[in-house]
Amino acid sequence: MLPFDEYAPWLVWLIPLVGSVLIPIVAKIGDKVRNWFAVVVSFISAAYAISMIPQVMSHHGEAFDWTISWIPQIGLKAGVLVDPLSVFMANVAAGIGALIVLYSIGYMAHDGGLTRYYFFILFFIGGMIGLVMADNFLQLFIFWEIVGMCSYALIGFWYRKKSASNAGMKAFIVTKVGDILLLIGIIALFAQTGSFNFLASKEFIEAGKIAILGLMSISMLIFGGAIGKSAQVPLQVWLPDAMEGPTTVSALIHAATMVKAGVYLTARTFTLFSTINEWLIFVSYIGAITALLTATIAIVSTDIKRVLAYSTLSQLGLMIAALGIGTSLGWFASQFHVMSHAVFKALLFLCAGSVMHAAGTTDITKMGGLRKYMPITFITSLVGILCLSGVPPFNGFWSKDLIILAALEHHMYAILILIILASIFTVAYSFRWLGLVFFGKYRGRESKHLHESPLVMTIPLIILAAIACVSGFLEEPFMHYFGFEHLAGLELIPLLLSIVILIIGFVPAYLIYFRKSVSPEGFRSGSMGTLHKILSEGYYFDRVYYAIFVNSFPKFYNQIYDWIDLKIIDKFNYAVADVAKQISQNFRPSHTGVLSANISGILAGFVGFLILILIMLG
Amino acid sequence: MIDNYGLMLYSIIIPIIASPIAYLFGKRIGRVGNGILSTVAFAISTLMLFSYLNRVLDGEIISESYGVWIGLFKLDMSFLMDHLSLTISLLIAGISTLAAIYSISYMEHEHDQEIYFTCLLLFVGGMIGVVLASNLILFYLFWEMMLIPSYFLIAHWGKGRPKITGFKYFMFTHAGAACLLFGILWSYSLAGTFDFLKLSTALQSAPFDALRWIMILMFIGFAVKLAIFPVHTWLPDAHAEAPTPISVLLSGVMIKCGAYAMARITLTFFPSSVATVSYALLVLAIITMLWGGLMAFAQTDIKRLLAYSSVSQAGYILFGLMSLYSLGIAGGLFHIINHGIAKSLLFMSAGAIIYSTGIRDMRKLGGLASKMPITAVAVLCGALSIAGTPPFGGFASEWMIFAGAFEAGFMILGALAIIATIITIGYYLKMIKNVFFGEVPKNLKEVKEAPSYMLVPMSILTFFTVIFGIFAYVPLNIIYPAADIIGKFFLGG
Repeated sequence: MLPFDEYAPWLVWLIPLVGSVLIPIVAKIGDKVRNWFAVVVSFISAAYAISMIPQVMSHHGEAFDWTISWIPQIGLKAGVLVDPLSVFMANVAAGIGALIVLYSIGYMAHDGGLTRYYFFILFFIGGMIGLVMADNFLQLFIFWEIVGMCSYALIGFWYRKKSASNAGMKAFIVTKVGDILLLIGIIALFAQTGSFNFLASKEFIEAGKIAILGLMSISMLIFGGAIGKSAQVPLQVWLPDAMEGPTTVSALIHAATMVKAGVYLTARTFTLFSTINEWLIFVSYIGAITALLTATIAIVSTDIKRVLAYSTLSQLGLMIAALGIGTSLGWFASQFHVMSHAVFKALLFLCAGSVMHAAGTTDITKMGGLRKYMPITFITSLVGILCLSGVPPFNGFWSKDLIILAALEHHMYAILILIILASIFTVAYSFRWLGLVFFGKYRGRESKHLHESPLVMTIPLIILAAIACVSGFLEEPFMHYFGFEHLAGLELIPLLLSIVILIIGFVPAYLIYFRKSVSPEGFRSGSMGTLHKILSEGYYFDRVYYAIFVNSFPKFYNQIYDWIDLKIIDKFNYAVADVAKQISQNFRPSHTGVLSANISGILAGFVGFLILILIMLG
Repeated sequence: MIDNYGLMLYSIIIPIIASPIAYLFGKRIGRVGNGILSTVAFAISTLMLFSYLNRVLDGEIISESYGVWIGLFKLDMSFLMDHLSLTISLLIAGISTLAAIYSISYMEHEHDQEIYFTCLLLFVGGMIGVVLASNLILFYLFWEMMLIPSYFLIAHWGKGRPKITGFKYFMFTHAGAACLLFGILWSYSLAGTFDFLKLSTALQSAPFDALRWIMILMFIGFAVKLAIFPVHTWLPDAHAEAPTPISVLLSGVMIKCGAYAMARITLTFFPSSVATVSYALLVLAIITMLWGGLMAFAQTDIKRLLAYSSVSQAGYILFGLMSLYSLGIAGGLFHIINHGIAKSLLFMSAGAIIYSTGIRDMRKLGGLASKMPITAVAVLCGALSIAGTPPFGGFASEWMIFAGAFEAGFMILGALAIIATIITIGYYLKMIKNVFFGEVPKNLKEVKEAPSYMLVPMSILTFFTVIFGIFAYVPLNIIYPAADIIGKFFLGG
């Protein structure tokens, strides 16, 4: 086995963090060295992540908390929590991270500023693993912000592009809204319990030492952080714009790992708050509504990566909704879907990157017929799409099936209907994407430059596709890994529902984009035109936010700066000075400068002084 | 414990003695020589102060005392070294050393270089004196001693309208100092002593109303220095128009003397009267945070933005101190350090940008990340630290401030303070975007990175923004006991 693997819970995130700091130094040796150094570091980290699995299996689902002293003055401890959930997420982050760093070697080969790129990618991987391994809220928050900072820096990687630097800033500020809610929640909880530790907080809450109203607001505030990071309604607007970054970044940060941090946080705090009914309802509706709204937007998007971004939003909504069901089956289904989605969405993004690498555009209306030119990318994309739309036996089918089953079992029919509708739209946009990109005729200008991508890019695709094909069958070991005994099996009603969803979603997409027997133009005019407009504007969330925060807010602060700070507060000071000046001006005429007047003044003063002395002497 | 090594006295005296040397021989040794002289003087002071570290960590309170006759009046020159003074005096001496190095490059294009360094040395001597003085009269003397040279520094080497700005700065601070003097004399009439070590017990029997008024008078003096809303308007003018190394010292260090004095005098000697107004002061702190932040948004001048940001951050420091809980006070004191480091870094970077481009209007800058990469990294670290983003130092202190407020039971105010951080991150990201991202304007194609006299201090400060975030327990070793001593006054009563 690996050396020092008893320290794996620390090494797994410290190695990438230290590696990232070394990147600028290694870059001095040579560019090739730097790139492969990053690959090696990320694979070592992945190896440590895997080495933790047997460790955690031997604990049978029990959490193992390993703390060291951090800020002894206030009794704060840093630590890692080794339990099935944290190790699972660490593996997702480290494994997919390693594959994507490998892929970057080919994909980013023609870009400048790669030292910065590899620094932030490794820093991100370290931060993300640190986030999931943290055993207390404060440490989690620190890593939470670190990954946010890396996301900001990597979205704006091409900083000369105005849209990219704007998108980075938007992502940072919108998620910061959620982060602030999270921080308020964390500190409020700390003020109640006196500890940031997950397990200690859990004991404290279970003992019923916090008033229910306080606990409820804390739970909602902490979930606010998840809304921001996992881009749920109403803070979903940053994720589609985040696609301005390099595709590898979109795949790693904005599909497979960082956006799952919100789901992770909700899953982690589930044991703390699952007794609060209002919290569960809130969580499930936010998730389900996000799932439906964003799936409908994905139908009209024409950017190859934005379709996938909306799809990510929708799938994250499903995971959150599954957690909100409130049963352990729902919890498990959500985590299972986290795994499926991390694999197939990273795969789809990397396929999209491969396509963009060849086609040189992101507009899917200018693609088409690419399956002839890029066979490997096509096959792997097909696998990804089959997973995403939930076709058996690919992994997406199994996890989505579990979510439906969990909702059915708990009789949450409103949530169920939202999930089913969202899944129907998912099938439709998935096959639309596939059809527009790979089928029909090529609609771009010239097809000479179309080619399959190099091996460093296709190998990660193949590996991910292979995992996507088989991981669906791992349901039972996965359940065992999390320490659940009961296995649901394949039940009839959810299976039927899944098939109905597939048929309803697939048929229109097939007719429009494969057979071309129905023209999509019809949907852009008339009464459908209004709907199309609403969808392509993303339900006007962005418009409203821009109107308030980008257009009106500057007017507001400029007005109060001009009118209050300068013209009232500061003017007041000058007014005081002016009054003083006026008063002294009034005395000026007495200072005539004429010698005789001065002398008589002195004499008058002298006489007055004498009189005073005489009076005092009495 | 009385100590006769005299290192405290020397740490103040050395810059003051170096100051006439800089004036008399300034022309002969030139700009670099003057800069080195100042740097060495400050570095020696820093080392002397640093030599107290172990004894202070052991919990010793060290004092030095000298009797000086001024005419018929015997002034008791006594100095005190404990956790609180060590923290702040090290910050002052350390940042001054870096600012002196930075000045070498900055003064390249300026006139009257030897007088500049003369004033700089006096200014820093005054600041260290304020922090070490353990006698109200001595405290007041040093308080004025740091005002006068800094007035000349602003009025003579400032940009824009330096004479009016300098005058405004002088009048504001002096009006505050007048209130302070009034308070000092009043407290003497009640206590019969100026000595810090005796004052606390001497004031206990004083009537409550009088104590409360003394506290308020002194607080006004400190609040003007710290630029609390609504007496903040001198700060954006002075800090933006002062020469950059002086902006560094004003924003990074000098306004912190106001915060130090609040911890040392207001909180320590008047605990019962502070407790009655602490809620109002917390609200004032929130207003200051929000106001400074909103005003920072409206700025187009890069240094003015940083100046308003200092107003906003002064609100955080006040907020932490006024929570009256050890954790919050520790956060406030720690934020003095972190903000001092990060804001000095940002002003130095802004100065580097102005030095290289000659432009201070952010709308005319852009794309400098590729031209000045080290400055870009420095600004990013400094800005994120001030905005309270982990893993930088600013987060370590800000969460303690917030947690202090929550522990004290001020949930809503604490939440508002946390929400105010989004304003901070907003204007800093806007600044970073305007200055460093986008296309490079045509007239800036030839821009180069700043000279190394500027980059070295910036790199050192960048290092500390990161280190104090990750290894927060190192500075907290000194800071937390200081806060704990103050916090104990309140938990008891």
